[in-house]
Amino acid sequence: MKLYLTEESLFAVKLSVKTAVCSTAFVVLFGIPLAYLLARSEFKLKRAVELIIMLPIVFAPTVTGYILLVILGKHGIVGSLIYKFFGRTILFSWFATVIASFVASFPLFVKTAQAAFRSVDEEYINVSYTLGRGKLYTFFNVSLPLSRAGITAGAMLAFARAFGEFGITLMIAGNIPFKTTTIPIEIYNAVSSAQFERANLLVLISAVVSLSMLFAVNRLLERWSP
Amino acid sequence: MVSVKAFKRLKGFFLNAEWNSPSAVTVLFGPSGSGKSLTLKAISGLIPLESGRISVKDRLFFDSEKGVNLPPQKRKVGYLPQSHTLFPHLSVYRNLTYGKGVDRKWLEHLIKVTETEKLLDKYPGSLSGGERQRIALVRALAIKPQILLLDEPFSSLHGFLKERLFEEIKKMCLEHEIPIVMVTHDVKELLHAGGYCIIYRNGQVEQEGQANAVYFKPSSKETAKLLGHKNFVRVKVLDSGENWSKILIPPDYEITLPQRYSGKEAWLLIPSSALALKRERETAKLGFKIIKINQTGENLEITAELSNHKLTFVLPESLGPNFILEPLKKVDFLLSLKYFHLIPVEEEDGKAFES
Repeated sequence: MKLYLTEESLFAVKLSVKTAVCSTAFVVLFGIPLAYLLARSEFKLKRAVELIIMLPIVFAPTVTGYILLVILGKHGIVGSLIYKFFGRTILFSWFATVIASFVASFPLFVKTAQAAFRSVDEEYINVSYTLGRGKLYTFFNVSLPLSRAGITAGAMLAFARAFGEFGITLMIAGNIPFKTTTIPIEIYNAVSSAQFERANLLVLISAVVSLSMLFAVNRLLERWSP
Repeated sequence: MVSVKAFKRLKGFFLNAEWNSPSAVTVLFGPSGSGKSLTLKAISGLIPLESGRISVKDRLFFDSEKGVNLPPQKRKVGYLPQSHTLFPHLSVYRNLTYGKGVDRKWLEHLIKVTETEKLLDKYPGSLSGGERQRIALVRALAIKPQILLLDEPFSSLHGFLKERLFEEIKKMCLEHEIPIVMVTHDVKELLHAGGYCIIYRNGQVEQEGQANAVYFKPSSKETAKLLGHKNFVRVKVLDSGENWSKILIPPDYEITLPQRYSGKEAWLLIPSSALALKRERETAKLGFKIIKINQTGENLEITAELSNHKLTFVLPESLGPNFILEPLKKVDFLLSLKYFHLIPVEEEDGKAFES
């Protein structure tokens, strides 16, 4: 098997790493408070929020992508605001690859983190309160450390999913050489132009990343579940 | 000392409990799901009440009429739940210093008194059940609580350890004037703790009083059963006055008891410890048919029949009768009348509990 490293491949690897890292950072940042809220409190529209988060898992990626395209487009609800303030659209930029990965991996993280938070016995939190500690202190010193393993596992799943994002990325970031060509898209390009040697290396990299994440997640969850 | 009036509706459950304990030790006793733990959570402020009033000594924790509702952080309660008390990710020392405003000098004193110095660097996972409870106790006391709330604190411990640990807790709390409210469904624990007892049933207070008094004078058959009593005889009440009742135990024993009772029928509770050694003014001689004799170590357990009711009596082995007991033999037993207690006959007659 021949492994070819072309300039396109190198760009794809860099972009994919950048995208997955950024996307996972945002996922964790927004996902932790949301997962905690979903795990610990009851509020109106909770079911609706849970449903909306889960949509990208059941929707075809092209459908999710299309919806994002409409929302983020120049005339969309969010897109028009961005256009007004920044004078340009974020669609078909490298940041669009981040958004695509974010949307695809967010539900995976939230679900895992929510389960992790829920597995923390409420009495720990009760005891912390009676010892005079407030909600924020308790969150950072009890809930978060006790669900660390589950949250890390969720972040790794999110990273792996972000790293392999294809459908939504193609829809909202496009297939622009040296701009939005992530590893999965570059693999598609290589194969569609019958350059299998070019695809081999990227497939290998992608598989190694995914497998090592999966391995780490399994180890973590084994240790986590009592 | 501790006064609680708590009202809360939950799915399929209704907490409507009101009690006043004058004692330093209060025991909430009742079957699981009767609202005991919920009451502890209400005292600690962990669950919101719909209405009511909670005060400890002269401090008001909650009063729906006055709009007072201190958050758990401000109530200063030492709360020891059944399990999951120590933070597993923190060392013992960091567990002990977790509370807000822990006074180091005071903590050092507590550690010394409870002899827990050698555990400080360990993690909860490597402690024994007793050590864990002891550390949780020190942690709760470290914030100088207004009250100590114990939710079946000893359910994971063995008898001897249980009693010793409780003695320790009681001593420390009495010394520092910290009232204890403890939840249990173990009669032994209830009687050992002494103090004031609140009997819970279906979210309501069924009876309250000094533990020993409640034990011997339960107000319903269900409570009596819950307290471990097994000997009930259906009797007729012939006559009664201000502080006496004359009953008929079938077939033909007429006995006068120092208890006021209104009603024609009653359950007569005869505690298993009611056997008397010699004939006195306050004893009754009743004829039994022996059914079974069990030797349970230090005690002799005699099961005998009185007018179609099977009764069990326990007495120390060394005080066993000087005549030979054997099944089917008819014997007369002397029973101490002061332990006899009449319980009203309820319509459903305890079916709710048995099912």
